[in-house]
Formats: sequence, C-alpha cells, structure tokens
Amino acid sequence: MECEQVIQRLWAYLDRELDEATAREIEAHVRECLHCGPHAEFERRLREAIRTSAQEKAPTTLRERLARLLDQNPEEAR
Amino acid sequence: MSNPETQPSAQPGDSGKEAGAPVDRQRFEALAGEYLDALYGGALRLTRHRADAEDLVQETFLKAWRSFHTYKEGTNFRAWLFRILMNAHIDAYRKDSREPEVVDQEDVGDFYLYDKVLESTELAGAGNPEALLDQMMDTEVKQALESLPPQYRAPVILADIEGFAYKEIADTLNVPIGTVMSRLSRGRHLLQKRLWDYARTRYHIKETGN
Repeated sequence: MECEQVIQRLWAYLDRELDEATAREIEAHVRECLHCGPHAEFERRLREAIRTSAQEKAPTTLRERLARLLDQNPEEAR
Repeated sequence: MSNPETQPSAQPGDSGKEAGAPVDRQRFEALAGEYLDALYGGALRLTRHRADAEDLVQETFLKAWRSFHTYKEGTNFRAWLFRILMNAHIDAYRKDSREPEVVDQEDVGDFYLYDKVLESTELAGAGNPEALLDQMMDTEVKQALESLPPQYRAPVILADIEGFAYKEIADTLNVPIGTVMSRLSRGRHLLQKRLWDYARTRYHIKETGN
C-alpha cells in the first residue's frame, strides 16, 4: 500500500473499522514509514487528549436525585 | 412481566422486600451507576449547560428504568443508555428550537492540525508536533467540542469520547452508517480547526496564506 492510500484509511484504521487484513497492512506500514507514522501518532495523541479533556464526574447531588427517583418509581420495571 | 428467564434467581441480602423488584433495581443501579459519569459528560457536551445536562441525564435514567425490561441481557448496556440519551436530547431539541442545518463551510483535510503544526515556523522548530497537544487545555477542548453544530457534535462525542463503532453510532442516532461517517468527518475537521484557532492565539502565530 502506498502512503496516499494509508493516509486515506488512517482514520478508519484508528477507529478500528477496517477488516483485519487491511488493518494489519496499515499497522505494518505505519510502523516503518517516516511520513505516515508521525501522522498516526499525532492523531492518536490528539484523540487521547480530546477523550481525557472531556471527562466529567456526575455531581453527587445528581446521583442522590436519581436514587430518589427510583424510590418514587419502584414498580416501573414490572 | 418480561423475560423472566434473564432475571437473577436470588440476590443475597435482599430478603424481606417484595420478590423481584429489589433485584431489578439493584441490577439497574449497578449497571446505570457505572455509566453515569459518561452519560453526564455526554449530556453536558450536548446541552452545554450543567442544569440542562442534569435534567437530560435524569430523563434518560428514568426512561431507561421504565424500559429496563426491554434491555436484552448480553447486549451493550452503555450503547443502550446512550441511545436513550440521544433520543431524549433530540426530542427536547426539536421541541425547543429549530436551529437551521449548518451548511458546511470550506472543508479541510483529516490531518489539518498536524499539517498546521508542521507548516508553522513557530512550532515546527520544536521538532515535536505533539507538544501542541500537551499544551492544549481541557477548557479549550471542551469549548471546541461544544462549538460544533449539533449534528456534527453528537457523532464526535460518541466516537471520540465514548469510543463507539460507526455501526453503534448509526443505531444510536438513527441514521445510516454513511451519514455517521460523513458527519464524523466534518465534525472532526471542524474540531481541529477550532483547536488550531486556540493554538494560534496561544503561540501568537500569524496565519499566512490560507
């Protein structure tokens, strides 16, 4: 696979949406290639940064409110 | 009464209450409780306001509890919850306002941010393109996410924060998989543009050319 084709498929590869054979081919290419490798690494790190930055903790008051909600609706799932 | 074969037969420490209900509730609370932070995070990015996010989570939680008997044991509970969340959000959003479909502006490549780092004399000299990501602040990322038009924001949240597969996102948003892919692509492009805007300000980079 040429660099151009790898770059085109890199998002799908990182999203784990490619068939296994193609994914393995891209993995091998990315490991060796000085052009595609850094692209993949940057994209991976970018996604990691987005994922961790957007983490939230549900407020305790919300958890308590939800527990009370279940108390008020005990039979709903019956 | 639904799928009795999937009900746990007994739970220790649960005697003395009406048979059945406490067991269901325990299971539901254990399952839903595990994903409450994720639900709240998703709701916050979608609604952009804490009070609205709490209301959305509460609505999701109650709807999930009411239809808990329709949840199929062994399927992805987190995906099931997010589907309820998205539907509740879309309902509220339709009731509330009708923002126009955002027409796509000029589109950029998949590696817009990376390309910009390499192009910039201020940053390329550092020899470490990821330094830009290390400097990126949580608030910037959140703001950038929340600035995305809703139809692009939802797939980005589901893919990049929740890690759902395209197919799961398609089911969650009730759109074809091709639509998920194109919206995700536009959403990520826009997100990279916003992040670059923040970076340019931070590093005092003057844009030359495009």
